[in-house]
Amino acid sequence: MGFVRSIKKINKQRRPLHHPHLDAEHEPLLASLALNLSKIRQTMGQSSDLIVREILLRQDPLVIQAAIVYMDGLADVKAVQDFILPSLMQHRHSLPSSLLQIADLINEIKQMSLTVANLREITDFTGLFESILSGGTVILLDGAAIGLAVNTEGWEDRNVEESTSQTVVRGPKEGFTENLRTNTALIRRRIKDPRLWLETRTMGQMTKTSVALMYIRELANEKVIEEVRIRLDRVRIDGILESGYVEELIQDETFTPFPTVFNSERPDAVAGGLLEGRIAILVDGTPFVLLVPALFTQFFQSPEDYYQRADISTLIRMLRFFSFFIALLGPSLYIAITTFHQQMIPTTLLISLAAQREGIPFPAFVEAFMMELTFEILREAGTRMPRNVGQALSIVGALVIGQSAVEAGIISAAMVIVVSITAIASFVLPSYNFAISVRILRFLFMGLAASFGLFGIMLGMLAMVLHLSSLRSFGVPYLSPFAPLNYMGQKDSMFRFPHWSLLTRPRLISQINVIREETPPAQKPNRRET
Amino acid sequence: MLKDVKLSARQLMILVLIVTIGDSILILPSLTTAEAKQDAWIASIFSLLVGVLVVGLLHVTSRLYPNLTFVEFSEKILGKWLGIVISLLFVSYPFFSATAHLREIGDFMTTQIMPETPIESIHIVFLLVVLMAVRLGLEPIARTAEAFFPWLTILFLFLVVFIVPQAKLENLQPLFGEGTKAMLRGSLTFIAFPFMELVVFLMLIPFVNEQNKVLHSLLWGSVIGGLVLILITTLSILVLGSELTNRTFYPSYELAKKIHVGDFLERIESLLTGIWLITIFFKITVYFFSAVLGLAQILRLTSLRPLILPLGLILIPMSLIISPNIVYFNHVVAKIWPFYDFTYSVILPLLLIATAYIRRQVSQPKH
Amino acid sequence: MAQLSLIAAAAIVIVLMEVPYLRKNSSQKDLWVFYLMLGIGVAINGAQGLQIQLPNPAEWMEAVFNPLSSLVFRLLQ
Repeated sequence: MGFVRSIKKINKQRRPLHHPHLDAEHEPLLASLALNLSKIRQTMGQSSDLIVREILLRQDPLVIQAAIVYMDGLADVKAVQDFILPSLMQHRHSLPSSLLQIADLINEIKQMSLTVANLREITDFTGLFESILSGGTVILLDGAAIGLAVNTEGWEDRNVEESTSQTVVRGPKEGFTENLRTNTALIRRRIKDPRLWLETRTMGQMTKTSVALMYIRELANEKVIEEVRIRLDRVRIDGILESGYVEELIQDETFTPFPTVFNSERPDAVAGGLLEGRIAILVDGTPFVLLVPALFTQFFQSPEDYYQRADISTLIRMLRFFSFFIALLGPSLYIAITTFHQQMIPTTLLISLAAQREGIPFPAFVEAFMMELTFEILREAGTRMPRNVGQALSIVGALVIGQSAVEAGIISAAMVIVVSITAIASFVLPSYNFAISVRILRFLFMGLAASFGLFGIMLGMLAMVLHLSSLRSFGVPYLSPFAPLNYMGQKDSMFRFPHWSLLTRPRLISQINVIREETPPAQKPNRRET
Repeated sequence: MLKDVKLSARQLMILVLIVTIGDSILILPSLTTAEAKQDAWIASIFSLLVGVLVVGLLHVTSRLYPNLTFVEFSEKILGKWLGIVISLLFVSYPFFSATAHLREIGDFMTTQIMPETPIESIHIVFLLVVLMAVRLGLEPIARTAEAFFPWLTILFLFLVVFIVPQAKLENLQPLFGEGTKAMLRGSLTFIAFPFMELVVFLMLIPFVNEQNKVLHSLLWGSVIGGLVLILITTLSILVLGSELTNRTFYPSYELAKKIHVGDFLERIESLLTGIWLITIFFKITVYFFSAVLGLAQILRLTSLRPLILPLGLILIPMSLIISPNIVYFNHVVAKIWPFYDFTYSVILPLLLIATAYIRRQVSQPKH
Repeated sequence: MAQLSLIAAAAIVIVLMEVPYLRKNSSQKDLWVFYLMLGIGVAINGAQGLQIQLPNPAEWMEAVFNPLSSLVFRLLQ
C-alpha cells in the first residue's frame, strides 16, 4: 500500500500540466482576422497540415474578409469544397455597412447559407483548436470575435470487420472499430431503447480522447454508475491511447493477476452486458470496449454460449472450467505426483515414466520450468513476429524444441505431453487477459508443488481463492454468484439455463428492475397438445 | 472496529459446519475408539445429542448481548478488571487451540505423507496462508469457505461412496460389549472437540446480519458436522475394525488409503487429504481470527493489523514447544484437552449467564 | 545461526509490511502494541533458535486439569 501511495503522490505532483503556451489558448478570439490567423499559425508552429484559406465575402461594393481553417487529413476536404466554400462564396450575403452589424451576418450564414448539419459557435482559442484538431472546420470573419465550427470529420477509418480476438462459430461476425461513433452506433443498432444513455467526456490533457460511458438507465445500478464517473473524473494523465489505460486507472485492485474489468471487441457481447445492467466504457481509438462490473464467471463465458443450445453451452462452460484447472495446475500436478506421491500412479505407467526419466539430468520441477518457459517464449514470439515468418517459427518450435529435446534426453516425452495439454487448455479460455493470469499463477503453483507436493498445491488453491474472495469489481464481490452464493445466479454462471428460465438479471449487478421479461414467466415453449 | 463486516446466516452455517468437522475428522475416531472400542459409533451418537445441548448453551450466551463479542460482553457483565482477566483467559484459548491444530497438521504431514520435509516448514507455509486469510478479514474467509464447500462435499462423498463396499458388519460386534462407562469415556473427546470448541463463535456471531437465524445456523451447522463425524467414526470401525482404528492415529487417512476404484484409481489418499486440510485450515483461521480480534478488543486497538503478523510469529515456536514428543501430546489431547474445552464452553458461559441474570435482578427490582 | 538470521529477516519483513500502514492509519498505541508483540515474537523465536528450554503451555494445562481428568476417568473406569 505504501508503494501505491507513493505513486499517487507522484501523480499529484504531476498534475499542473499547463504549459505556458497552452495557457494562451484560453484567450478569447479577437475581432481582427489577421491577428487571429497569426495567433493560430504561431500556436501550431507552422505545421504544414494546417490549412488556412482566406476568402472574401462580397456584395458590391462591400467586401468582408473571411478565412476557413482546418487540418488537412482530419477534415474531409470534399465536404469543405462542396458545402462550406460554395455556400460562403456564392451566396449573396446582405453585408453590413458597418462592423456593428457583423452579428447579423453570422446569423445569416448560420441560418441561411451554410448547408451543413452540425454547427456551433466558438468564442475562444481553446474551442477553436479543439474543433480543428478533431477534424472540424472553423470559419472566421474579420471584425467578429466569434468563429463558426463545422463538423467535417473525414479521416480514414477501418471498416467494420470480423473481430480477431474473440471468434465465434455462430453469432454476429462484426467487431468494433477504432472509431467511437461507429462503436456506439453498433451498440445502438442492437438496443433500440431510449433508455440506453451515453455520457461522453474528454480524457487526457494532450490526447483529448473521447471516452464514452454507456448504460441502460433503470437497469444499471445508479451507485455503480456514480462510482465509475468518480473514478473517471479522478484520472489525471496526459494521454489515453487505448482502453487499457482507462482500465488500469479505474480498476479496484492493481496488484492482482486477475482482471476486474472485462473487455470485448464484440458489439453483441457488450450489448448483452448492458442488458444485464453492466456499464460499458468506450474509448475512442480502440476497438476494445470495457464492461464493469466484471466477475470471475464472466471470463468463462463467450457470447456464443447464448446462441447455441442451452445444454451444449452448459457442457462447454464446464469444459472451460475444467480447462482452467488443467491450465493452472497441469504441470504442478505432474511435478507433485512424480516427486512426492508416486504411489498414485498405476504401476505400469510408473514403470514407463521412470524409464523415460532415467536419462534426464534434471528434477521434474526444472524440467517443467524449462519447458513452460520455452513455450511462453514461443507464444510471445508468435504474437510479436511479422506474420510471414510464422511458418519458420512453428517448425522450429514444434520439431526442434519438442521432438529433438526429447531425443536428446533433455526432457521426457511425458513432460512434453503435459506442457502441450496445459498450453492448449489455456487457449480454451475465451478471455485473453484472464488466460494471462492463469499463465502467471501456473509458475507459482509449480514452485509450491516442487517444494510441498499436493499439500503445497492445496495451500496455493486456498490462497488463490482467498485472494479471489477478497476482490471486488466496482463493489460487487468478484466470486459471486459462487461466494456469496446466490441460487438464481447459478442459472447463468457455470451452467447456462435455457433463455426462458433466465428470468432475472444477475443479482448484485443490477439491483433495480431485475426481472428480465415483464410478461409473466410463462415463456416456456409449451409442447403441442397431441 | 469491523462493525461494517457482515456475515450471512448461510456463511455462518458453513463456517460452523467446517469448524465442527475441523481437526476432529482426522484424530477423533481414533481417540473415541480407544475408549469405547467397537461401540464408538453409539458413543458418537450420544455425543451429538449432548453436543446439541452445548451448542444451545452457547446460543443462549450469545443472546445476552447479540451485538457484542464475548470479550465485549464479559467486560459489561463482570466489570472492567475481572472482565479483562476473563477475556485474556478466553483469548488464550483459541490461540493455544490454533497452536495445537497447527501441530496436528504438522505431525500428520510429516508422519504420513512427507517424512523428509521438516515440520517447521510445513507449519510456516500453512500459517502463511492462515495469516493471509486473517489479514483479508472475515468476509473473504467466509466467502472462501462458501466456495470450497461444494468441493469438500464432493471429496467427502467420494470417500464415503467408495469405502462403503469394504464395510464389514461383524466389526461392530459385540454390540454394547464395553459397557456404558467405556462409552461415556469415549464420548468425552467426541463432545469436546467438535461441539465445545464452537465456543469461539461467540466472537463471530455479532457480525451475522440476520440475528434471528443464528440459532438455525449454529444448530444445522453443528448437527450436519456431527453427522459427518459419526459417519466417519462408524466407517472406520466398519472397515478397519476397532483394533486398527484405535492403533492408528489417523483412521480417516487409513480409510482413504483403502479405496480402490477399478484397477487404476488407488492410493488416492493424498488427494482426499484435501478434506481435512481444508477443514483444519478454516478451524485454525477462525480460531486465530478470534484470538486476534479478542486481543485487539481487550487492548482497544483501532485495527487488527498490529497483532496479526506478530502473533503469527509467536505461533510458530509455540507449535513446536507445545508437543515435545507425540506420545505426551496425544496424552494431553486425549486426557486433558476435553476439560480445557469444557471450562471455556460450559463453565464460563454458565458463569456469565448467572452473573448477568443476577445483575439484571439487582438492577431491575420487581415491581 | 542460520535460524537467527531467518528470524531477523522475518521481523524485518513484518516491519516493512506493517509499519508504513500503521503509521498512516492507526493510533500511536497500535504501533506500540505492534512493536511489543513483535518483540515478544522475536524473543520467543530467538530463544527457540538458541535451544533455550521454554515453558510449555500444555504442561500448565496439565497441571490445572489433571486432578479433574483423573477423577473423571477413575469414576468412569
